[in-house]
Amino acid sequence: MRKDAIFIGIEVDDAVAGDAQLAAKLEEVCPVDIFAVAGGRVEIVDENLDECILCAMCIQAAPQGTLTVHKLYSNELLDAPA
Amino acid sequence: MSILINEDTTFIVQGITGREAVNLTRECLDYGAGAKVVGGVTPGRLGREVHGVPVFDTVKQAVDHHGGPIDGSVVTVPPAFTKDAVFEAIENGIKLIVIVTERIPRRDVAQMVELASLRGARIIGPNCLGIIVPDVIKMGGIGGPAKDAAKAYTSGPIGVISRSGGMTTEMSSTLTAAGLGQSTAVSIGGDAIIGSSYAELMPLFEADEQTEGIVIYTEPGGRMEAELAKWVKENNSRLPIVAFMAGRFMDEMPGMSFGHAGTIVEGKEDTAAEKIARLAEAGITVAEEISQIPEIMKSKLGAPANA
Amino acid sequence: MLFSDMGGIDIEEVAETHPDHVGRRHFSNLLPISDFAAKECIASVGVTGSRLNRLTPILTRLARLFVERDMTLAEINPLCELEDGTFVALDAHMDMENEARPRQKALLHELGVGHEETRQAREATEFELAGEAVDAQDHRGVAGNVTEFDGDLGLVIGAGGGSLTLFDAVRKYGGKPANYCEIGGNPSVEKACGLAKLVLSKPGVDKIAVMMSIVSNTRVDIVARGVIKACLELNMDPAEKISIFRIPGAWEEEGFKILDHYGVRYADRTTSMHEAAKLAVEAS
Repeated sequence: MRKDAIFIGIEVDDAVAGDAQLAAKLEEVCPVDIFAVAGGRVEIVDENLDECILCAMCIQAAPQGTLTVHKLYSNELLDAPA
Repeated sequence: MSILINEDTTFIVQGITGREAVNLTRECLDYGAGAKVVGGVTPGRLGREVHGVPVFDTVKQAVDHHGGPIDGSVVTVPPAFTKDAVFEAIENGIKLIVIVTERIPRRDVAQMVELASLRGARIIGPNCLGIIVPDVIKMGGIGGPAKDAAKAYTSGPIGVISRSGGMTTEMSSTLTAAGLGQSTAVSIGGDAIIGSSYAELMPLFEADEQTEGIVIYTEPGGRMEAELAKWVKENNSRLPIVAFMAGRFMDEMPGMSFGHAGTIVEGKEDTAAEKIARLAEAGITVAEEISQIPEIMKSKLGAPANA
Repeated sequence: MLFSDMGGIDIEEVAETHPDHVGRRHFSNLLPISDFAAKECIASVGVTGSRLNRLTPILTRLARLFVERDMTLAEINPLCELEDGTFVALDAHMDMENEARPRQKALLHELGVGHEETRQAREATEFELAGEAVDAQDHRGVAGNVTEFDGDLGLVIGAGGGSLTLFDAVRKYGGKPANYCEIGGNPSVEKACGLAKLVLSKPGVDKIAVMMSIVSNTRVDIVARGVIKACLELNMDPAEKISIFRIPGAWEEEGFKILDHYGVRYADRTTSMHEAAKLAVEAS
């Protein structure tokens, strides 16, 4: 699943997007409410995407390599936290 | 040296679990030699940690845990609870209180300032970003994250006092770029009543050997500039002062408030024009633009005395 | 507290022309307000006898009202003495501070003072009310304090002191601002966007200048996103509509990447606030 706004795009691997536990975790960690739980699945809230503060908490919360944050203005991927 | 704080200063953060307070704590721990943040207080959160700093329910618990007097506190609690938090700090022996909170009713501020003066404590703020001694310590959000603060502030001979938190950094950055470092920069707050005014901080800078000159940022509203001019004249200060006055346009708009709560022209003495005249009478040069400040200061430092 | 036996005229004028007719005294905000302070203040201008004893509780109660009701000014002027020696207030002026409104709700309601009545010297314009609505849309940071002016140069500026400095600077270089405003405290992208859209949509405004003093809490990239989004949503080209973007500080590297991508002219801290204002005026 991939969603793009003007500045930020987020891709969640379909293999984990249906994980209810992950969905709840993402909803909790994101400080700007980009993630929500919908029917036990990860939902990306379109109108909040561009509010992303690049904190990478979601990348840290998801299994390695399953969630990527795209900076559409520079064609870069947000690094996972060290 | 510096004024108010140095590398040994211990302090707590009241309201430490709030979003901005968590960031501020990180910034202070990271900057310079690393601030000695010996505890945080948020009622009901005893036992938690914020970036390794232990959280307590009361200031007394923090003092007991530290095992001796704590020098300072950064207060970031919401306006309705600020007075109680500051009273708590003062009554537990804390002598330096930086109040970050905005929009505290004036009556509460007057009471805090009065109690501080009775107990021999000093308040910086409210509505301020705190104090920074470049490369050594910062107490408050001043300058932002450690890496940003390091870009703007360098150690040197200039004391900075400002009614605006952001402009403290802008002016210090301009001084830094011109090779003039700062001894201590103090964001004193933008409210109508504040704990420490220019004139109240001048004796500290006067006594500080590192400090050779003072740069201030000022605005219309209030009597602080007149008090500074008076202090400079009466005490024959050794320190040359350069000022920058923002909000000159407000002279044409009495009764309108801009920028900060205390920034409003209510009478003739409040206007930018009147303040500039008073400062000039006391030998304080008011720069037209911030970029001119370093040059003016350098020429004043080169002169034999504050003529 | 002040007491003068020359009522009916402006107290500032009395203080200037007849300083010996003005008594002044500080009173404690911590101790309960009691009569002696008022008595000392009144007696200091030479009032004695039964007048002193009748006036003292009036001033004490006025001081109590001032403190309890969070006033910034509480003035009775003139206070008149009747033939029987009693006193009557013929006029009074009270100002309450905005910060205290939440805890004085009951009194304000009783007096019929509505939420929309501020302490500003003139009524808010439609444009200013729209600015308030933008600022009220969420609780993250500030993008508001909008004041309308009649010029054509749109300003998206901050923070408190920075806005005052930049507004002066624009006027110094001959610019005619369309508005004053303040960004600060790290507002959301949506809020910065709303403010920029409001200014861009103001009749007569062609371009906006986006300028702040060095930021440490507000993020450069977040404001950049907001103002660019405003242009895009209005089907405008950010490179053309934003005459200059001068916000150095926190997250500036990230912010400059965004501005580069959209071809927006920007400046870092080596361009002073006044230089940036000059560029904004030249480009308008």
